[in-house]
Amino acid sequence: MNILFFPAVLMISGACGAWLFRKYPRTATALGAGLLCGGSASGLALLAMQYIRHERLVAGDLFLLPVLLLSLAAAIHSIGYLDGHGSERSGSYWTLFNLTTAAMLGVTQLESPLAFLLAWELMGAASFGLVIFDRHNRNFAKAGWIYMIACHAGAALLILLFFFPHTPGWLFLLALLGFGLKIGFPLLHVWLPEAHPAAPAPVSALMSGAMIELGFFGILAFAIVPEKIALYGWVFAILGVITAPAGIIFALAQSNLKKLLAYSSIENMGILSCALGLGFLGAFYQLPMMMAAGFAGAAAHLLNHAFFKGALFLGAGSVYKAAGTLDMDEMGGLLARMPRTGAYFILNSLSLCGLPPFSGFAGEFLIYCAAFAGLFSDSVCLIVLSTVILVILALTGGLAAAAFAKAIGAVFCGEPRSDKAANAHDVPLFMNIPILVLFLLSCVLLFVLPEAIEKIIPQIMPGCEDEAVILAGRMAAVSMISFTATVLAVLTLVFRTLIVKRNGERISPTWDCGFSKPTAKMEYTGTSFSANLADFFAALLHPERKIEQPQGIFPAKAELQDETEDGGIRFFWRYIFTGFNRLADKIHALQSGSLHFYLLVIVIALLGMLLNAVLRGN
Amino acid sequence: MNINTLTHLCCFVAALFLAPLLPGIINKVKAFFAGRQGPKVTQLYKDLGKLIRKECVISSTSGGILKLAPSVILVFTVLSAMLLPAGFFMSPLKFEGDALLFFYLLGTCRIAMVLAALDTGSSFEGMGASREVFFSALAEAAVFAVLAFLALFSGKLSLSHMLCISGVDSWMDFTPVMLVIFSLFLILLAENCRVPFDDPETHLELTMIHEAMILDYAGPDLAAILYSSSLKLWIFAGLITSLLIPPGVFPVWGEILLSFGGIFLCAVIVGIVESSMARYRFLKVPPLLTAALVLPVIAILFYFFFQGGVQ
Repeated sequence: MNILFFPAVLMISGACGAWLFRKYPRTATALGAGLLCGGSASGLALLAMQYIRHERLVAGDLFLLPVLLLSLAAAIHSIGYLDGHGSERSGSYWTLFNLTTAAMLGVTQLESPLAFLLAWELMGAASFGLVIFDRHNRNFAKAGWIYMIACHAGAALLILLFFFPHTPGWLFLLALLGFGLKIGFPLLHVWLPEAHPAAPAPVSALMSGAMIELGFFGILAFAIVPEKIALYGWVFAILGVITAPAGIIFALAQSNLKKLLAYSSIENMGILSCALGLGFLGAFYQLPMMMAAGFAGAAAHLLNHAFFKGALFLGAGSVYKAAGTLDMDEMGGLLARMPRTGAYFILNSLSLCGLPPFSGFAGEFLIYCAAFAGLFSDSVCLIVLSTVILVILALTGGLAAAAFAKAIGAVFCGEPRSDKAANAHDVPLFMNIPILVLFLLSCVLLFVLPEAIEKIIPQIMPGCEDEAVILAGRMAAVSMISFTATVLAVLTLVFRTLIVKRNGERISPTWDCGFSKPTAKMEYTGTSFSANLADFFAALLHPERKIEQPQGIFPAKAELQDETEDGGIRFFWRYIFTGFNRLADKIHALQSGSLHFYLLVIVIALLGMLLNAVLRGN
Repeated sequence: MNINTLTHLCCFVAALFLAPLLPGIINKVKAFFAGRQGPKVTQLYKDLGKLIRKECVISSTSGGILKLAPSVILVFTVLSAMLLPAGFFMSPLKFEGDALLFFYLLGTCRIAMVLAALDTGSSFEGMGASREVFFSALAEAAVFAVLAFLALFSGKLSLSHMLCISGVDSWMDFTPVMLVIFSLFLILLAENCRVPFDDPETHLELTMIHEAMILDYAGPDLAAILYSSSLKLWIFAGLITSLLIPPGVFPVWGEILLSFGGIFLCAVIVGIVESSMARYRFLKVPPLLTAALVLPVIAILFYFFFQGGVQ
């Protein structure tokens, strides 16, 4: 029996309990949250015990860890988040939340296609209920609609995938489309920037940190045959090279905090896809260093993304609770008003951008190592690809830093731009603790990574023992220097405090070129911060700009508004769906209501079948 | 501790002490071209000495990043200076892949500076930060193209090996290396906010990038930032110089003298560039950074076509 049977049972009974007591929200919350936390915690404990006993990890465990950790963190955060945001319906919330988590456990553990598909569908359906839970949100209906279509289209493709025989090429294509709808590959990503801002923050955290990554699990578990690794490598790498920069460029142009985070998830899935591509290509070209670094980088980045994106969505939820909006141009100055949330948000953002001394750098470092290993090969194609990946990853890194500088700057820095933001207060401590714990776990990851690489890579990839030792050495150096840098920075801070104590410190308003006291009206908003970059990438973004220029000698009012709608919807799906509608309208003419016409159609159909039978018979 | 490590450490400490000379040299060259006498070469030392004794002024808008950033920037810049080889003396911290850490540490410094600028809520500092992240994202791509070429050329991933390339004896090797050096010089100008990307001397906050971001710093904090900026200039000049000096041709003292002299020469060239041209309009900066990205790519192609690196 699978070790995760017990946690899953706990979660399902939590779902049932919360549903039975839905008339009594407090009891429902206690039952649902309690049993979910119990389930996740026991799952983590069982996973740890299994690892200690066998010293082995399988791919499913790697995807399972984010599910368990994030469900635990999100559940604790939910208790505070729901307060005032639908706590009277918390019975149904906890039912759906527990079902989603249980289904995600099933997805990582069930091996038979039918059971997997059922769990996958349950995951989609239950999370759909969670996406439309927040009815205060203006867009919840539209978001739910798009999410449901995406889920069902994915499920239809998966049914085709599982229950009809295919050649490996078709199998991979179907998996890429079906699971790609979850991952958010370009054009299949449209649900992410709609569903995440509409869903309650803890749900976004769970979905973005753990659920979309399960798409990769699906592809790896069901669509991979050893003969075709070159194909997988090229497809993953090229998809990644497109997805990563496109995702982050769209993230830059957003003014909704959770939309920005959602697009950043697309970017990170692109980086993950690059890493997997490099790993597969390393296996194909028999470059053990590239293979080991690629897959290790993918694993590290997957865990990092789960930690940071989960934490950031939870942080965004805290901000939403405090400021009452997700529009970054209406926030500002929240670091001074909610220091804990702000500090944790900033730390997690910097890590997610892959900046040292944080753990996010470790994953990117391994992926860069894989790309450099590809550079040293003999194949021209591989060298070209590696160079492109290096440059694109660097550009993506720079743009990610810009996007998160925008988010941090607009939300937490400067003066508040609305009354609500000016009067914001920090959320209760228990809502911040999960965010801090996720960040600390990522720090732990940075220090266990060298040992983990040395132990686990040879188990999964036999023949890479030397490379594992080399990579572990590099990672040890990275974590050593990161640690030193942190310690030195803290010491310098202490030194600064001493100097400042001696010299004295004065608080005074920001110097603004002769204005005595700058106000929020003068400061740069998030939109203006990213306007340069948005203009530079206008060919891709096509922002809709409303501009009202100052006029006359004494200009009174001026306005500039940039809105960037999703490119996939505007330039692809809209045409597909309107075309489909037009076609349906044309077919509609057949349904004329005339009995004679229907009989004619039946006769023509019968004749066609007869003809077919005769021709086949010959 | 072997002799290599010891020499590197001596050079490193010397670099820490000599770095504030570079802005002085640049200003002296500019003054020469303008027909002025100009401030002394050692002016920055005096400024730093004065600033460190002054009181700190912190913006009332700040949420705390403003106070943290200078220490982070100082420590990370010094650490990345330590990763840089001095001439052909390898850094004691070197490991395969330290080139990535090196540039990412500088990236952390940059983002710390940007966040501190945004933390003040000043419109000028927001403007400077916005331009900084724009240009640095493009410069980052160029940096990694340069790294790709150097990795191909040297077959290694650590700065100490990548920069000490030997065997550049024919024009077929020399040409791509020169292209990369030119690209690195453009990156130096962009990363250190020099003309034509930014004008550190301008009197109008609207046209500044780096200077606009540090408007609200005073006292010891400003000293830390000014010092880090000069050290960053030293680091980038050091990158170019190490690439130019062939290892093992000269005796040890000659090598050290050459590497220091090369760095000062770099500062002189920056001064000449600043005296002879104006800052570009912001719209013209991205094409220039794209050029810095394309040059190493051409160098890679050149290397393959004339080296027969790939059969």
